[in-house]
Amino acid sequence: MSAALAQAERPRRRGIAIGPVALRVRRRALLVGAGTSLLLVALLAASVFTGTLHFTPERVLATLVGDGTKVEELVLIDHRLSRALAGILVGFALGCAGALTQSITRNPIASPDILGVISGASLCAVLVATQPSIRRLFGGLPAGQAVSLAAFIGGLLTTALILALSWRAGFDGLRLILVGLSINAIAMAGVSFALTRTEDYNAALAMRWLTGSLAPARMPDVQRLLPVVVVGAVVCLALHQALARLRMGRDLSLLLGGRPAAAEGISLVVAVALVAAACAVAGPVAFVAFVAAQGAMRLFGTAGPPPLAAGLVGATLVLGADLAVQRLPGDLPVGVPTGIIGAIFLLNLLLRTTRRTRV
Amino acid sequence: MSDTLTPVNVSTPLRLREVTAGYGSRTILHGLDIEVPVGRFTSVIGPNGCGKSTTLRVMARLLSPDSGDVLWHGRPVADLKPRELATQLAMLPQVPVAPEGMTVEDLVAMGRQPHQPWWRAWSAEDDRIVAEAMAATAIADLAERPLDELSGGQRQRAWIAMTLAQQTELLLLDEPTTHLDLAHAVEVLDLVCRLRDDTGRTVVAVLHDLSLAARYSDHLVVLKDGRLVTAGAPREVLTPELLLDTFGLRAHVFDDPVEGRPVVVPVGHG
Repeated sequence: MSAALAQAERPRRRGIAIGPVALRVRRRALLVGAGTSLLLVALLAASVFTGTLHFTPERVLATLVGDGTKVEELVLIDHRLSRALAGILVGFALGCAGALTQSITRNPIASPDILGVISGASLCAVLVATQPSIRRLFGGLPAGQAVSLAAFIGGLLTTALILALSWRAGFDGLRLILVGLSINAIAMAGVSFALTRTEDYNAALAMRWLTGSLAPARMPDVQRLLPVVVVGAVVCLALHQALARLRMGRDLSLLLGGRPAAAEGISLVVAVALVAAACAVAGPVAFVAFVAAQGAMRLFGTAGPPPLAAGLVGATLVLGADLAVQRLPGDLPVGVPTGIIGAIFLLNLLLRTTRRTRV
Repeated sequence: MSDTLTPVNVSTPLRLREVTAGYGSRTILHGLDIEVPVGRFTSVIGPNGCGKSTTLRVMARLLSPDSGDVLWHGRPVADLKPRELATQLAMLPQVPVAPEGMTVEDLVAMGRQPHQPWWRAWSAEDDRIVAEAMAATAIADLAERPLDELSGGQRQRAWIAMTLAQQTELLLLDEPTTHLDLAHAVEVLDLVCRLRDDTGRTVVAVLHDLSLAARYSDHLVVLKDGRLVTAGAPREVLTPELLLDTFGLRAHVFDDPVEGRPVVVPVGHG
């Protein structure tokens, strides 16, 4: 016993303390976090410095500090930089939201893309795109902006509906998932219906939005997304411990001094705001919320999906995928590579789960 | 270590007074009165469905009673803030679930949560207490291992280490030996008794195995149909008549020749 105690005296877990603020830090999380951040910066540089039009690095740097010509500014700032920043923010928002919903439901399948939040947003966007009578409700807004706004409102409305149907003195994870899947199916049916009942021109606008793309993203989109992502990240940081407790279930969450109902409610509101804002900018980018959260958990070696790390992984994933589709032939939307990665990931997860239950 | 313990001036830290509780319209406990003796190992026993686990859930405030009081040092437990309660009372549920990929050390560190504000998720003292809890439960070597790789006995010790790191004066255990073979069950109960002796913790456990309950408890609370049958020292409480009336079990009760504790030997109907 005394030997065991002597061995235990050696501190295993190290933390960083800055004044009264202290964080527990694991070596692996630190290394992976630094690596992912470096990769993200490299991708960002590649997005801005390279492209179909060639600019020397000196000209790119000059343009970034404000000494560019009109053409340089248009290409480098309005197109390349805006698109890359929008990609980072969209990826961060989706990854973070995925980790939040997976944590509060304790289910890897329960990400907003599977739960119908994104399809609800799509339905509203498609209705606005295809029905001129509905689009007139948005007054003089250009079609593209009206669709984005509709997606945002649609995401919020759908979540409100899912919650109203699944709320029973708190969230029951399984109930939330079943209701979400049903809403998802209904919304997708609605999207198909709306698309078959419209003029070609309107359907083209709807389809462009439905595939999910960062190509139309500009600085104002980045400016709208940034505050939502910053607030979301701060809330995630503050909820860090509450989420760790929630991942152990309601009983243990209470027993460890938590208020599970409050933490679940706040997490869900933040997740939905992040998803709705991301969808409004880029449309439904497939599977990022799911993959980033599960991927971050495995890469960082954490107990349960970590929201901020998932945001970082999501940002890297979306930016990388967007860079790939810009370089690849065929003018693919960013949702195609993320969808493929997501499908492989989901299949892998399902196979591993069935294998484990059989053992 | 026991002399460093601050003595509690009430002999009953936790008391249920005429507690009626249940789930929805289904009432499980009917006017239950229980006093938990301080610094002792109390076992709640009774036939299946008698309300043992519900009693523990009411004690830990996981379930609020429909009527009656749960008093923590004379104060209604409902008045305590969640964190306040979690630093004084720890409970290990029957089938606790940890998130995927959680290591033993991660789990034990969760026990420090009630003591940490959100901006200070770590301190050197937390490190020390986590290391101590792992040493006391002999799982220090397993610190980096994921929980799902451990054996049942090791995993149960890791969960107990988490409740130890909470540093509470009361520890509630809901069937801590279920799914464990006899050797591992004895190991877990030995550990719990050592904690009671070394740290002066008050322990309340729901136990299924009557012989183990008799062997390890200082105090028995016998329930049937959500009502208190009797309570007291195992030697006084465990009689063939009680076993027949309460459990419908025909059994002999002998004194163990070595320790003098009662041993229950079922007769069956054969």
